[in-house]
Amino acid sequence: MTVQAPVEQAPDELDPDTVRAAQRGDEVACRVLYRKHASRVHAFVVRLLGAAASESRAEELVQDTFLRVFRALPRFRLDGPASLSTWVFSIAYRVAVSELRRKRVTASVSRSRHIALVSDEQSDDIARQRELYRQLARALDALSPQQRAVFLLRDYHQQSYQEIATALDIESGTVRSRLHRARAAIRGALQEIDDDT
Amino acid sequence: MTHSDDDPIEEDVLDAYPVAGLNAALEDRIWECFERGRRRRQWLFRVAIATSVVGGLLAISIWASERLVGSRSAGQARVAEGSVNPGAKKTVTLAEQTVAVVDRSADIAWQTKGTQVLVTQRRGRVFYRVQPGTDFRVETPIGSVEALGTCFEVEVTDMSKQAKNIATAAVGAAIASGVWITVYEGRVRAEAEGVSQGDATVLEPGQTAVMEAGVSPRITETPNGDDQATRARLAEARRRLMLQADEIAGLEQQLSQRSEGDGAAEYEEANSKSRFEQEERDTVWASAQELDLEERLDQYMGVEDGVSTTECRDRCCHVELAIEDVGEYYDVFVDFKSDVGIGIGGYRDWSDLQDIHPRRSDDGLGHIYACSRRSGEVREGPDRGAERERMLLEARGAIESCRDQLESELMVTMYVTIDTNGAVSDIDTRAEPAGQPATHCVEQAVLTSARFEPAPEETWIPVRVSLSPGEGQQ
Repeated sequence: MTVQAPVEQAPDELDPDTVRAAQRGDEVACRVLYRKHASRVHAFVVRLLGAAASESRAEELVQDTFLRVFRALPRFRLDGPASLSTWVFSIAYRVAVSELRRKRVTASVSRSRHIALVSDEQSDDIARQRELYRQLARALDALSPQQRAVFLLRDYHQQSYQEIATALDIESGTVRSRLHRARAAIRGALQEIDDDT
Repeated sequence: MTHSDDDPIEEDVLDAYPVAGLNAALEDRIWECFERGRRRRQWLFRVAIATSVVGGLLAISIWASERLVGSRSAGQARVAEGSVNPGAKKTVTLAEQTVAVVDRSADIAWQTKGTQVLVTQRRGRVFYRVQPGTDFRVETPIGSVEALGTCFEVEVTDMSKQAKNIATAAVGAAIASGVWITVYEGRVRAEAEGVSQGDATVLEPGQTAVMEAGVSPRITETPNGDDQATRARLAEARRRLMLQADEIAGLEQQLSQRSEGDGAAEYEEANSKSRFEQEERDTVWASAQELDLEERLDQYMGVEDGVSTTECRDRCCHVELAIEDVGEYYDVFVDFKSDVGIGIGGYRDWSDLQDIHPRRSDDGLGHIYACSRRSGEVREGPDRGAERERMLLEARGAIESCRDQLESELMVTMYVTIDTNGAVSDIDTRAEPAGQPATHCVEQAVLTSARFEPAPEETWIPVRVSLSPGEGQQ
């Protein structure tokens, strides 16, 4: 199992020629588009679903997202208000939120799949890392999906306020207020670790 | 300590929540799934173009090539045969655009070679719709019936059914055994065995004849023109009724077997909800269906993202609708089960549907469970949802002009039945309030714009138009 960088770098946008080729259904261009965005979409979906996501289910939602992306791609406007990555995130967000509404997703495959990546040695650092993860995941799960999405897009995916507003179809001011509340909740949860230690 | 909006959570904290790498095989899986859907859409596009250019001939030939069973290599006459035994009432395709609706008591066997179809009907009632140009013949124990047109019914009676038949046909004399023939469209020639060839009887639309051994077929009813139209509608209504009776019988059978069944047998016969709950997810199929259903709900039924939630598994899907208004929910449900949605029993391959109305569900949401046959057959055809949109768009001007006849706010609901050739075969119109002249005007406006592609099965769509004295809305 490989681990990708936790903070995904915002990719350069695809060049317009590749996007246009993908819009015409060109396989190579579509695959380039997928490779450019897939890991970011996957990370976004996994964290947005939190405890509700099994690994296989998250994968299915990534599949749903890209099927929608490919089908709707001819309608995407290169000169429109959203960049391609913002537009892809907006679709991933709708797919994930729809999944959360199902309320039928089994509560989770153990998080040990993440922890196992760093549990080869028993050390204080690892123990703290594990506790950090547990608190962070719990704090994220306690947020509303909307707050969580804003936080993930801003802090993990470095989207601008305007891009987030476009992706989630909300006002820029709402992005700020949700982000503020999300960060406060997360910092509050992390403070508990410091207090305990 | 305070933090501004631009003060992100520290990177080492974010690092504590890594995400595993994505399965490399997913890329190919997605592309395969997308390509499959794209081929279907391209097929639809080709049909639309072909139909507009050559009057539908090419479209029909595409279906023909897909639907004929037992075909040989190209260039050879296609040969197929089959039979339906008593107790299995259903609709069977005998050749291109040629179907038989076989009553439960009936017993038929057929052989198709190229455009020749020979049916042996030993007993019971069968309704036939024959593609013009087909050399179509029904052999009965008493004589033969040859189609010269399109649409007729043959009933082989026996002693036990005598009283009923006599009552139905209002014939005074008792008949020991015979064949009843009713023609709805086109013409048929009936010829009893043991009668010289010149004594065959040709029946016109609306006529009913009885054929007895050794006697020329005798016409018992020749209705006037109005009656003919009524009879044609009656034939379609009867056909639909038979299909519904099939569905009811199937559901009753499911229920009775479910109460007796166990284990795997019980699973097979369980209702859609139970089946859905027991299924594992087949990702490729389920994702494609979810996408399709959600798009149809959004595009054709006005159910926006967030109002509906769709989950499919192996053969069944569950749609959850957050619609509180009872009337609105009902409209969506009717659309959903029509060919605008999944087309229960139709060519879109869905066979079973169960709904739990918001008022009957614990969570106040509407729940629809539907199961697909997943027969593996290629079932492709026109998109009735898109065609309805187009029809309403084209009819808008004509509907607007109906406002002159409006007495008060009017709601018109039409259930439009479309035959396999794409022609409107029936329209059942309900208006609230009833009796306004504008209702007929709206009906005509819609019908004038009705243009549908041929489909492998009969289809139906609901069409709703509301008109108020101030403004119009569809």
